[in-house]
Amino acid sequence: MEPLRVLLVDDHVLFRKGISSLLSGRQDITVVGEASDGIEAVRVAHETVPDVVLMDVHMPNRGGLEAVKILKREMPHVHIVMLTVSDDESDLFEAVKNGAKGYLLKNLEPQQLYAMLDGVRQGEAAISGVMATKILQEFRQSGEDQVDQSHPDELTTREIEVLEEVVTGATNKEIAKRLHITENTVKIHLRNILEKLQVKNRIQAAVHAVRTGLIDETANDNPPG
Amino acid sequence: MKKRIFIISKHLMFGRGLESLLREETSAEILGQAKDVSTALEKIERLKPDVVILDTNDTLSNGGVDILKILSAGPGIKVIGLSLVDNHLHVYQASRMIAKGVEDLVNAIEADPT
Repeated sequence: MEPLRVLLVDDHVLFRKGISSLLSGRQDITVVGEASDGIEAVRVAHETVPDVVLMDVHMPNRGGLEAVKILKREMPHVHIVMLTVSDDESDLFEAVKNGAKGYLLKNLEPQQLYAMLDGVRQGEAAISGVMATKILQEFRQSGEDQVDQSHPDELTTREIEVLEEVVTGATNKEIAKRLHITENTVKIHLRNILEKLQVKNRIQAAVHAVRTGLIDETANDNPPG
Repeated sequence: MKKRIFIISKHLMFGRGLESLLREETSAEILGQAKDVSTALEKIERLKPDVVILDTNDTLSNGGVDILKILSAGPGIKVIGLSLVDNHLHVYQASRMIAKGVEDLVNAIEADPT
């Protein structure tokens, strides 16, 4: 099996070199390049054609989020995983909305980095479970308000299907494609889901879903046909 | 001489990466890692590392006071502050001796940093 080709992008030299060192210990992973800002990231990505780009959200010259947009447009097969110290919810959401497949906090164990990369190799579905767990951990740590679970309105089957897709980090467009419905219908379902679960956004909906067992995160091991 | 190193960083992945990197590049022994200075101090007093690497980004709570505390935690400890924001590396080292005469003071004044 071909080793997974990884491009590292972070302006913190010692952090980047440290990750490179950690990954070089694995036979099934090759660090094919490094970059310290978004502009360099796009150039090196074109040169090295990685499978995965591990990229910090905040960098000078061109930040991670902007680089994600460009990479998804120019090299759509590349999987992008964001690395960040930020607990900022909007950064997380923006990265996923722009096509990042996953998100890792820098205060996590390297084991979770390996798990994420293994997930990439197996395909999108495996990453999703890991991502949902990461989101869960993040919210648990930051002590987000618990959703009032005393009287949750029941979700319809279709709404649960949509929510399962949300947990994978899919955009509305992707959800629409997978479920064979229009994007507008997806938005309506989402609005209803948010209202029924009494949450503010899709990330909280995903967290709630996984936390309460509404969605079994291991169910994502079998991607929809 | 094999240096014994302790790492202080809130970001576990950074500390582990640094550990891996230092193992590749040096013969130094990594004694351990802590998420903040107060947890670290107790371990540092016990383990007596030669070098403490401090991630000064999110980890430093009391600025210079923390660095002083670490420097006092053991004889001749070197603190290396890593500021990841600008990739700066600051070296702090204290040494202490009993002054037997004015020559000790003169030597301290004249000595250049290593």
